[in-house]
Amino acid sequence: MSRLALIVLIFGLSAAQAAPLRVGPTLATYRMGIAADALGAACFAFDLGADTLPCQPADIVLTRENRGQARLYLANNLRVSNEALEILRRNESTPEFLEEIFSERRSSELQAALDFAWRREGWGLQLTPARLFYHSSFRNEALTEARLLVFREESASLQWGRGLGDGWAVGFQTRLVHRRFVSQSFFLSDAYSESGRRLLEPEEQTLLYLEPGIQYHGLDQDLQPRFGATMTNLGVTDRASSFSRRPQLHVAGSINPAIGEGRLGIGVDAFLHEDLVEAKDAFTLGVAWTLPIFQVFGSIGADTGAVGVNVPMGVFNLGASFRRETLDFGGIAESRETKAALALGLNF
Amino acid sequence: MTKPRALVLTASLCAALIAGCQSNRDERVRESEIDRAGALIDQERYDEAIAMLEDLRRDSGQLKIRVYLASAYAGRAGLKSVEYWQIARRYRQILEDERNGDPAAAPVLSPKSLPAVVPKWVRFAIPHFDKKLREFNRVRARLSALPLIRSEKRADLEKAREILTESAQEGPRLYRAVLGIILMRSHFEEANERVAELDADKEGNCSPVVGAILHQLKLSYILTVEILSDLRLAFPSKAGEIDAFIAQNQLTIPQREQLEALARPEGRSICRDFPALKGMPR
Repeated sequence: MSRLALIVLIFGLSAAQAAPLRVGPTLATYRMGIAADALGAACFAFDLGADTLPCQPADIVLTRENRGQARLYLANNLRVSNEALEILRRNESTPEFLEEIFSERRSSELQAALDFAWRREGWGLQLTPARLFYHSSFRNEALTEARLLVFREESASLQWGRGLGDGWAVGFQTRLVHRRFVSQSFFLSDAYSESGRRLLEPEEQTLLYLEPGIQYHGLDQDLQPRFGATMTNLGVTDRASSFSRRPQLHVAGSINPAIGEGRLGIGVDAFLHEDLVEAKDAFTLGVAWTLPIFQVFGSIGADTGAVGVNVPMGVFNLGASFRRETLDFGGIAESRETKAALALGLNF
Repeated sequence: MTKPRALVLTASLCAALIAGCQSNRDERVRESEIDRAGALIDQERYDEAIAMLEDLRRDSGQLKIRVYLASAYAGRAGLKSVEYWQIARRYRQILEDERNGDPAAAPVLSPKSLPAVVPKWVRFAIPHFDKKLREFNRVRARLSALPLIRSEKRADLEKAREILTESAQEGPRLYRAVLGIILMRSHFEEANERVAELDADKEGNCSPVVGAILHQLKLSYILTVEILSDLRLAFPSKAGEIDAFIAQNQLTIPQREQLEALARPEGRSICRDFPALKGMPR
């Protein structure tokens, strides 16, 4: 009971902070995976095995068999991959290159990742030799402002979990990330001034994240409830930047009753982080239906909706997801961002 | 570690982090307000955007707020960067062309066309004046691709430029220079319209319209100096070159005083000061 009270206290603090905040929309989650896309923040309420490692590190305790996976993940506009790599390769931008960026004046997004993961009871390891992210958006027709976030990173994640008894477990994820990135917001006039050349100068950063989680698993109950809290993006870095260290607290729970040959999970996540707009935006409802031959997921939040499917085919794994997010500019305008992703996996 | 301790530790950690998030709150709320103002500008609701940004400007000295506010005023004056920037950014080429000139261009004024009564010093000055007129026509032709701002909208553009003077940074100064070029084009065109008016005026060269034309040219001159000063800040490595250009082309103090005396927004006959112009052809 006292544990529950503590969790309620943490969430109470979160909600008290969340309510008055009215801040601008920012980029979607940096997490790349079919289940993470389809379930959104509700992925903290489940461990479906569709992505390489679970969102909640304490879930690693429940891994029953040794499993390895290699996965290629691709999302959205792959045509801009050359542009993304070009930005990261250059040490400075030319007026011609900036002109290209401004001439289209169209928001673009790309996400791509190659992961190798291994998990067994109590721990899991993921190596990501390449992860590429590109997002550009434009606003203000009177003087165009471009917002650009491009990064390429390599990372290694180690999850470790331990049961505390009575269904409780704690877990830690240690994530070491090296990132080369450009995170800039600039006006057309900045781009063409003399210092414009330095606008797209890439920065390098190394981060060490420590992400703790605590989770209750009621595996012996019919509904198989689980609930817990996870802190993500809690890290230290050799170089501060605008987007790297923004801790997020997730409080999530689900019930997972058996239905026929499958299991239907219904869960909810409430989170707190700097980008929270209103308290209602903190909640995500997720559904996951696991059948012997495939998994279907979906989620809905105040401004988001997503679906996904994961089909294991022997040593292969095929997953796809579609996510839509509405960004509300204080009731003045709305912008819809969609993300379609495909993941090809090899199980070993 | 015992279970209750683990829970207390986790809870304390979370509470500390939540408190830490608070420090960025003001900045993020401001960012959100700027985003809303940007959305209002995109919907051409400039009055609302200006009111919102003026409030923000009072509370914060953030450069981005000033640039957004200046762009809202420019938007209300009818300017959208997508419509003019491609032309404005060719300024280097324009300056280069101006420097090279076009010696083959036909003269606008020739000493031969003047009546015999015209004094010698005027004849001597005509080729120089003709060169300036050809420059004027060339600049006018080049600026013709830029938007034309009607006189009643120019106050917004002036306001935008005034806000941008609050920053000495390169980007805002380049924006100020571009707005100045657009404003200059409007003054050139107005001067040109007044010249057409002059053609129908019985008083000819002695019409008060001449003073009004000179007023527009005076404004263009002031703008030119300001534009060059802004470009100097936008391109620090070109400062020497621009300084030399300003030094070579700026009016002397007596010339400025004379222009000041003759130029009148409401117009004034210049024949009192230059009686020789009375008999000259238009």
